[in-house]
Amino acid sequence: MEEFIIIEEYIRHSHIEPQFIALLEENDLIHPKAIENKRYLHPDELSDLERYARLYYDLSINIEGIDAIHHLLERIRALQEEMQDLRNRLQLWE
Amino acid sequence: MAYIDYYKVLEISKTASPEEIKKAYRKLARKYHPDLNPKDVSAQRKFQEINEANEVLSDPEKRKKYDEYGENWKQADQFEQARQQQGGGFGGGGGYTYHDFGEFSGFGSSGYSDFFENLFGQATGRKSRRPTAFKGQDYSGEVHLTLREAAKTHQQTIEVNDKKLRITVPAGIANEQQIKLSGHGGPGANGAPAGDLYLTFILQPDPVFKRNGNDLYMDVNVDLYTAVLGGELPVNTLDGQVKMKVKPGTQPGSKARLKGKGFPVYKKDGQFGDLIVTYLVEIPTNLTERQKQLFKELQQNK
Repeated sequence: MEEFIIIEEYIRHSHIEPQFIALLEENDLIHPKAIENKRYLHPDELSDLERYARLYYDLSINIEGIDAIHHLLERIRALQEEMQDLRNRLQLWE
Repeated sequence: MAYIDYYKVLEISKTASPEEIKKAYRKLARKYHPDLNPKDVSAQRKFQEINEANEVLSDPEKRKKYDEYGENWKQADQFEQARQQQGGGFGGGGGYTYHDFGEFSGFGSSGYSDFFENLFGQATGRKSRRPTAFKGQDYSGEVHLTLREAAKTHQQTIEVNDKKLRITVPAGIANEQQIKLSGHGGPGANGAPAGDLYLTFILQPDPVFKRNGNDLYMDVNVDLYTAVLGGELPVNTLDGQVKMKVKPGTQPGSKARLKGKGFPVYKKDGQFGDLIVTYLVEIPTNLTERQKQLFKELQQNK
């Protein structure tokens, strides 16, 4: 059974403003689920949420910037994978 | 242990105002923040350096001590004693959190340089504007395997923060492939989930086999006579010897494919790539008179 994160509890521990969570949700960056009046976050999305929080609070990047960075990071990840695959293939000729 | 020029790290002059320090730090933090530089160890190290520089230079007391003793850090022990007698401590410098530096990734548990710890001690405690990470710290590490080890599903015991962890490495893993082990990172705060462990597998090249995806490549020597007349050739594949049929008139550098004798396909039990063999034809040397005579006859008969 997967352990979902109760958003209310998360907010209490992390001192993150509820509005920030709402902003992320509006911009389709996180996808909380509601079960019996409580809102939950899938554990896989917790790392994303904490990364967005660091960008927002530590680096003062606004939500639009975070959205753009999110897309760029996805592209970087894909490019890094492709580059590694090509590097592995290059070993044939070394 | 080397002296660190914190002013140089933040690219500012020694007379920089607190405002200039803050600005320089913010700018560099945006450039080197680990969240913006995935898989870039040099950027992460740089980020630690600028954090440390900021922690010292943005704290008036620390900055004063650094300016006074920095280059003569060896005398700092005496200073330290005096400090303890005064009972003074230093506050945090308002640095950013950096969540992703696992102790497992070799940065040291404190994240500070030896120089810093010598001058300021270990227990200063980093404070940040938003100090509380909820989920436990993610760890990352490398597992080194030979190509032959990676060809078999096998168990490995790795050590993560003094805890032994047994993992199963599925056959067919790729070089630099990363695997996430959920919940094997640092503990979370107050019942929060633990962090994750990211393992990157580094495959050492093999002296015989080269790998391209699921296919393996190897060179085999074939003597001139077998190459000309055809015959059988024993070939050592990953899982034992097979006899290959060599066609008459096999050219040097030509290739043959042995189906299913390559690398196992990752997480596809029983599926294998091919083994591609390149023939290297050995031309005989140090011929006897008799052999020379026979070659001459062949030459005249061509």
